[in-house]
Amino acid sequence: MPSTKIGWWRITLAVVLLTGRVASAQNPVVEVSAEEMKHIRAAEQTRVAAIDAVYGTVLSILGENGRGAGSGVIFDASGLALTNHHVVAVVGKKGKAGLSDGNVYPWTLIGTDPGGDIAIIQLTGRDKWPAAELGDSKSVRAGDWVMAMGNPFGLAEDHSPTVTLGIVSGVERYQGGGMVYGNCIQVDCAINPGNSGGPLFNMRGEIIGINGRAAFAERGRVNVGVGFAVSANQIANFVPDLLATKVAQHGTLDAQFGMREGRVICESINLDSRAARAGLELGDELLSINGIEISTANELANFLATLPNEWPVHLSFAREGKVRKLSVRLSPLTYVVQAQPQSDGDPSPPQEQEPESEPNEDSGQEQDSDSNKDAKKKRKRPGLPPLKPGQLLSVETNQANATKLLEAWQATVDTETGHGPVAYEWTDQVRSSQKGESVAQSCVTNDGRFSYSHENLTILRNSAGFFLQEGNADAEPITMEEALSHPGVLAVATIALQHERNLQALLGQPALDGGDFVNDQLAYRLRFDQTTEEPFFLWVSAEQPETLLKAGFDEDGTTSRPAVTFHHLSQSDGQPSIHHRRQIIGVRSKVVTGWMGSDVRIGEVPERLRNDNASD
Amino acid sequence: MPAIERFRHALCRRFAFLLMIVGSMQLHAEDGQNALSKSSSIAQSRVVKIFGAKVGRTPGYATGIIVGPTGEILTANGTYLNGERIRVLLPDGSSHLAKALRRSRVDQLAVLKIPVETPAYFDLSNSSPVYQGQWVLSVSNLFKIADGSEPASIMRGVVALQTKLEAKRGNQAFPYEGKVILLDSISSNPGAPGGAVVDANTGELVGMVGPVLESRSSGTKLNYAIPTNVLSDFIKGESSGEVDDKQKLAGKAYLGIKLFRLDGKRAPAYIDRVMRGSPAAEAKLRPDDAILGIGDERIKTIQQYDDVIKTLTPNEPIELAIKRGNRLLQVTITPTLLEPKTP
Repeated sequence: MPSTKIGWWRITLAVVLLTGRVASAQNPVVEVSAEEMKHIRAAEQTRVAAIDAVYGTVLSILGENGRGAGSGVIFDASGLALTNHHVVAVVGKKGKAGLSDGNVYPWTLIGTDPGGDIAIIQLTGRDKWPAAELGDSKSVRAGDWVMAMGNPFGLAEDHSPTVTLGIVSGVERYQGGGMVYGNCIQVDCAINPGNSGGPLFNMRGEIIGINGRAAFAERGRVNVGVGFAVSANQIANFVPDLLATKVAQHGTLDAQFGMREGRVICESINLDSRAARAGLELGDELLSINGIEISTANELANFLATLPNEWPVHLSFAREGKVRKLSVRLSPLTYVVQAQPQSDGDPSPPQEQEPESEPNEDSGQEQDSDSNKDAKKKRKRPGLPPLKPGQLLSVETNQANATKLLEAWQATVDTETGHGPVAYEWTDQVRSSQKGESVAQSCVTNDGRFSYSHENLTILRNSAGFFLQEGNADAEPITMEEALSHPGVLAVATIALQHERNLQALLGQPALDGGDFVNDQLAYRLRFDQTTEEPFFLWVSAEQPETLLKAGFDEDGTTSRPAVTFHHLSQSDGQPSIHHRRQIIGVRSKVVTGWMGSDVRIGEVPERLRNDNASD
Repeated sequence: MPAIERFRHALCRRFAFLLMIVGSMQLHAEDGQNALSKSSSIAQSRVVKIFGAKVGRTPGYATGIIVGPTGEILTANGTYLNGERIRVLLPDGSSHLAKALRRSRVDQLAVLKIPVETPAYFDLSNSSPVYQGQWVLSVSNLFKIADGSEPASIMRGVVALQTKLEAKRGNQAFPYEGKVILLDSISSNPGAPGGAVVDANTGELVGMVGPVLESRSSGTKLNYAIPTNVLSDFIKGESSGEVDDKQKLAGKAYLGIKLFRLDGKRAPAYIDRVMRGSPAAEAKLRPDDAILGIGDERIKTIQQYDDVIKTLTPNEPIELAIKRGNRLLQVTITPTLLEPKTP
């Protein structure tokens, strides 16, 4: 790389010296001063540095046969990479990928989103991978400089990516069709067949989108200056579902909105829909969704297209001059999953070079004699088998990813080793909407035991199990599920779980249930359904898996069992620092009870939590 | 040497030179970003979306620029203005019916008027000089990607050359003979004509995206802008070329040819009758002539004839290839306006 850079400059300078006189003959003379030259070189260096930093993260996606199909980018050092659904659709569940170092590695499909055209693949063959970070696409503006990287036309035999520079032509674009690109980024850098699945970088080298389609009209199947990238923020919304190995589903309100006299009006609604049952009616005027002001029906469609199924949305709408609110989770958007990308439509998604197959080969031609069997096998069309929306592609990978997340959650706290047993105690101010204010005493140990005393009730866990003690009566053994069904206990017990060394023995094998949005944060929802009657869920932050956001027995605490959210929860020096917990009900997260914790006191483990003499 | 070839040569020779100038403005870290965002939002607030008649394969939409405070809009002339209704969408998303005040076949320009005030407009009276290597943004609603109040698309480019063109538009020659500004961005796309080309730093108008054109020699589509001084002259009515009123160019083109249609749409286009006093009669066409070509389009079937006829503009001469007996003839014909039938 460095040598070619120098070479480029030499040639440029030489050409400039030779032709400078000619160039100035017809035009106003534009001299390049020494000062400007310095800026040019500095700008050049900045750009080269930005490219160098991420060049190695870009993939050329190949089929099993080694032929080019598209592009991709590694976004996690463990070898997770993003590409387009329509790229893996033609390759299948397994393929190969070429890196800029010229090496080719195998990959397997982890999860895919046929509606939003994004897939995650896992590369293998190395321990650590160069990775680029997902940026915040909300800060992208029209006019920003961007770089697209990938392998257009399968040009690079050595898999070194092609870089094309351009600007953002428009943001929050809507591109419908078989695959919906909502709130996507329109760019004028060259996007050609083969660029599909490749990254769109900002000049800081962050992935702000995945290039997926272009307007291919008028000039044949080449760039006409209009390319579209799926936004990084939409991708982030779907990453949890994709790591859960799902065939991701998009969400819908099951209601149509249109423009009437400049207002966004509900024009049709499925009366069985969650929104209708929550009170939305025909003729209601939509004002905002999740805090985003909506002034056109297109804005709503744009926003919804970026959200997965079961996503919580909060609507504000007007009826007869009165502003009302409702909160629901989205329902699955029905669509037919196309294993092979559709070819019509304008602008159509780039379809890459044909993977290998003879197109339109129908089974009728395969009535060959037995001697042709091998040839027949080879002619078998690659690509994904028919997929069922919502299905898991791999239960093992799902569980492995869930375990990894749990480990990350537990990694930051002190789990006893080396220090001996320690207890963290604190006092909670309890504020209940029904019972007013009171005080509770909480204690967790650094090996997962806990106690919670509120009024004349104490629930605790020691090495012998879970116990309930009322007043001065003897402690009675109860099940874990019974203990966690008390909201105050649920909150304290979950904090203790973080210190539990053998979490799997207690809760069973975790599964990654998918993505969610909790406390205004993107979250992973982990599901445990082996040791409790009702499945038990933990929510950890997608950005910082060590941060617990929520715990409960269903998504919204709407059953008889509680759900608790955690706020301002941060660890310092391995000890829990718990400031605020809330028992919430419903999608709107209505607060029923709040706990405000005092400072944590570190002390010896109290008698009743000790290992041996706890109960009896 | 055809213009496109000249352009290529010039571009090759000066490519490195252009790069130097390119470098001098781009990527001054955040400065460059701000300049582009600023100039693009200036332009976006002065660019409108126009919707009119779809004729054949010619799109029924285009872009326009606001050039006066009381609803004056300048755009590229085209068949989309031929319909009864022309709708203009302002940057705020409000929709207004427009009147075509003047259309020029020669300058390929048209002035529309909408009945509202438009305080943000391009002032055509003070244009700064355009120079080779100048960084520009083209702002248009190409492919009508932007809907309603969504801002028009922007593309960045460099002024490659100022030159004259030998080009064609669709099947008809391009009558504009003045200078154009060739750009290196792919700004010439359906819906882009009438878009603003502005200086990337200041947002000042450099020119207007003209109708989609192909080079006569290579068929390559050209990316160009019509310079601001031509726009200004046209607005002031000082255009050198002929200026037509709305009537003259609006509506469908009429040739006065009746084809022999009894053999269906896939049969060759044989003339059955030539209407008296029609352009076809003036061009001395006769029954039993076979029409083999219109402009550069080969005509093999009646279907193709019908498709191509729809794209013709009244009063723009076009060449027909005719087979009469065993002879091949070239005939120039000037369609007139197809008068709406009175009951």
